[in-house]
Amino acid sequence: MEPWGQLEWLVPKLLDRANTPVKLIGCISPEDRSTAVPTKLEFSEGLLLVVEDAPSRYSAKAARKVANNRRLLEGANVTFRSLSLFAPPADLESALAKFLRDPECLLVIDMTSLPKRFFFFLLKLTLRRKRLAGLCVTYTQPEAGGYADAPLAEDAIEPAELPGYSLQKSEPSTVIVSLGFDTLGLDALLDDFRNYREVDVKFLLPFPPGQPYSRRIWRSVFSLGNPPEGAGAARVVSAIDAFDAYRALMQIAPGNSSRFKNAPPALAPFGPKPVSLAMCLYAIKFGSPVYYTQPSVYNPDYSVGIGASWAYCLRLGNRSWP
Amino acid sequence: MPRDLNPFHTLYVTETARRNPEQFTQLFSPEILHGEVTSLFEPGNTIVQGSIGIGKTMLLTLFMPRIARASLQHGELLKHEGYPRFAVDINFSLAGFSTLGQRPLADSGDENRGLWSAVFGDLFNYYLVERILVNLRDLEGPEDLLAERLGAKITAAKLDEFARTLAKRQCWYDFLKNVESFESLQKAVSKRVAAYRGFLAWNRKRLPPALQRTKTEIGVPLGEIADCLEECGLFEKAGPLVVTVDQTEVLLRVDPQASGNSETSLGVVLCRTVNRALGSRDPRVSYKIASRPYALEQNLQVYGTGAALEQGRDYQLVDLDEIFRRHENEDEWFFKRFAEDVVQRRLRSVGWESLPPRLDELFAGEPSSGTGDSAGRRRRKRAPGPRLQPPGRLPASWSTYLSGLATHDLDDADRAVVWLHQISRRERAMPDFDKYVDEKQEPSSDNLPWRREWWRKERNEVLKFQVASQTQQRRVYAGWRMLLTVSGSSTYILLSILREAFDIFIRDRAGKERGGETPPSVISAATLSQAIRLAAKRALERVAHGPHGDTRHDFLLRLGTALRDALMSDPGISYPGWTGFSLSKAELSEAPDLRRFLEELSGFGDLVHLDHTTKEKDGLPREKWYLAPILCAHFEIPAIRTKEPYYTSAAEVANWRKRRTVIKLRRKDRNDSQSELFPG
Repeated sequence: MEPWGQLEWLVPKLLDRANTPVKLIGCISPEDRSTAVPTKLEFSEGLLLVVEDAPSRYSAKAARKVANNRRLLEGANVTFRSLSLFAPPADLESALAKFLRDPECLLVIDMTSLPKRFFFFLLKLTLRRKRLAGLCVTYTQPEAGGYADAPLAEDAIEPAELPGYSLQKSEPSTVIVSLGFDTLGLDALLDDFRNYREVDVKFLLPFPPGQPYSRRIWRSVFSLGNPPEGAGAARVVSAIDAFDAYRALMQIAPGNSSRFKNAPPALAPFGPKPVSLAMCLYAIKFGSPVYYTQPSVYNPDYSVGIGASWAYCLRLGNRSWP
Repeated sequence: MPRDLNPFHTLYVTETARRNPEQFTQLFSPEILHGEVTSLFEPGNTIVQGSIGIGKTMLLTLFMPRIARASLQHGELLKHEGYPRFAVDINFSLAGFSTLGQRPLADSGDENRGLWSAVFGDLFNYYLVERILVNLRDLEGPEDLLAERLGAKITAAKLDEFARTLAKRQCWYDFLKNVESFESLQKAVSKRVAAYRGFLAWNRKRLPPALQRTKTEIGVPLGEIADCLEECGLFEKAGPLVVTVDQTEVLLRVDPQASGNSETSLGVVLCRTVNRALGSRDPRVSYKIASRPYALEQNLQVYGTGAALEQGRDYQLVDLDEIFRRHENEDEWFFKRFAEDVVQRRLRSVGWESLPPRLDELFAGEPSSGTGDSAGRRRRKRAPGPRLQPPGRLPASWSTYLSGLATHDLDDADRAVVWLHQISRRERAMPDFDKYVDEKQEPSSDNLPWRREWWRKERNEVLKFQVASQTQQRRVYAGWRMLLTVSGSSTYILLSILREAFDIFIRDRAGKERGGETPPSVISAATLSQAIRLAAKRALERVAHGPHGDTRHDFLLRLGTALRDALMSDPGISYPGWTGFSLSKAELSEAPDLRRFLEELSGFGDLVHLDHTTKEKDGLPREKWYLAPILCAHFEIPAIRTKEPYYTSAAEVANWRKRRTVIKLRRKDRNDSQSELFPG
């Protein structure tokens, strides 16, 4: 049994067992859904990051939408903390340390609008904290069909390892990519691997995305200079069940096997956040490097509306998953 | 139809080395290994500079053991006494260096940068040592061709002796004092690298004190290793250790919040730390470094000293963009020769030896009008007369003459129309008909202005595009020479186009012939045109998916559209050179942000950057930029550099950068300096 499900169903069950205050870390963005968990969840203290993209033609609109969303949370016991998208990880570390000065809590990290370079880093630091009573990650979908038709993000920088996920062991012989709507810079990353090292590239395709998103995802697949070829190159995983995606990773690259123990696969999380969560957990456990091409600017109309909120329990007491 | 039958399916020849080493040796063209490129195989430091896709990495990977083995096993690629060599490689992107600097080592900026420089140098050394030890082990096997060629005499006993000798060298500050064997050496080195990696991955709070006390100076241990290899007799033939270094631009990005190449950027500090290794000119170690354009010239200083690297003394430069660039004398165009060899090898690799021996026979030439107009005529009725619209209020004499001329030479009639536009605009009156044509409707001289060689040559390409536009057709791209032009001296682009062309050919043939394995006798103009357009579309899409892709894509889209509009709305083709733009060096030096932007576009191969010999009276030095030829194909503008580009200012180009700004090239009045463009 893997403890995940709709937020409203799972969290009360966790609280029954944890009997401890709830603290929330999240991110307020121009997206409506960034307010979902902070408004649905009862928590004693919240830290909501406000991430500042690189200046762009979207800046004014993004600021307006963020201000509107912040207003919805006035009165809640929330601290807002602004951070540049490319802030040094040490800034995030110190913000987290200050927030968790009293770690005896059920910590909820809402990854809905957290940029991957923040979310991955935060999760690594929090999983290390032994005194947390529990750790839960949440994610809210937009309303059905709520993703913008326009590109969701722009101006990715060149591929680089996410903070906290640099190469730790031997260089990988396998690269696993989770695909989504955009493949910004992915070709450059794969070209590097192919030129220099003998690597197998495997792809995870999220399902179900529903139409028209499946077309969009396939379009991104075929935009690659070298799309997946041959049986076994691509594998379908649940777009929502992070534990299913984790199992898929373990089947492709069993972390404790002789092949991957000293050279875990490189991971590239370009797909939905629940699949990225799976990759994050795999990378933390087995020491995989994680590569990403971080966009500099996000579309302020990234998504509209609020859909279902999902929660994934990673730790409760002395038990942990996966 | 097996996809693999397309000889251009795999774009990267290095990828074939992994899957099929024998095929790699067939595909790799040693034509590249001439002239200054051979300095790669000479002792000493070499910097290979060039835009993306030009082949820098391909050259460096020649040193990799698996490539060197493939070369020896299946026919030697390079006959050079400096190849193969015992070599080791570092790719900063894959080696985990992109997260350097994310953790502060000190509070003050200067101290932090200094400490990171030292940490970087030490990690650089130990990373390479770890790989050297692995590569040595690889050579231990019996009957290894590479070992034999290198004169390697690697035994377990010698490796242990090597380890003990190396460990005693002072460069390690006693870190390796407990090393007794090769295995313990490997363990100690790997442990140190792992400690650094643990720190960079935020797995540990701080660097172990032992590491901090025993940091090595960048490059020094590598020279000691070269000495010990010789001293312990592991190689019969002495020679410098070769270290290939790729993706140095990763270092420049470790500090994303720092602006450009500021002195306070940690990335700049790290690049300049690498320069310390080159600047030492250690004869025991040869560095072979790949660099994008501009990255090098902006970072020649050696960190911690007041010195800068000197070309010729500290390193040799191999500028691949320059080597491949087409100059005035096309017979000396190196890329042409190289491309011919690459393509012929690819065709032979699938057994198509029976193809026409010359590529200009395989790729059909273009129809005389360059627009496929004969097909257009069949499709619709066209009024008699030239295809281009003559000037308004054209006297009947000229009109009749043009109609007659068009019946037997459409191209000449169109050229005459262009000339009429030119003169009428300049003189504000039509030229005197009787001066040029006699009463029998024959030219009154042998040298009608629109037939003069240089006049035609300067306008021919733009004319073809204007005709295509006017007749609502598309420009036909045909012929081997056109293919080379549109490739812009990029092997990657050339192969991308040919991949499309042969995919089309194979698809078409599959429907007609069983198996479809017969090679083509000719690649038609229609096929090549379609292939070029597909490759061009993908090239622009790739821009959008690349680093800072949206900004680059947006700018290129607007610039390409503006250049096309300017050329198509110039009926006199007075500005055939407006396929690019020119800026003064002085203005650019005062606009560093703009300079960086243009350099980035050039580094990615979006623009071609050249020095410009100005025609302005002030004679001040200028630089010019053109769209990459493959992108010209997308925007339906000629990939030519003729006459004068569009003279502009830093302020104007800075304005062009603003998203959604419509770029418009402004025609100046006829009294300005660009009036020299009007034909004499």
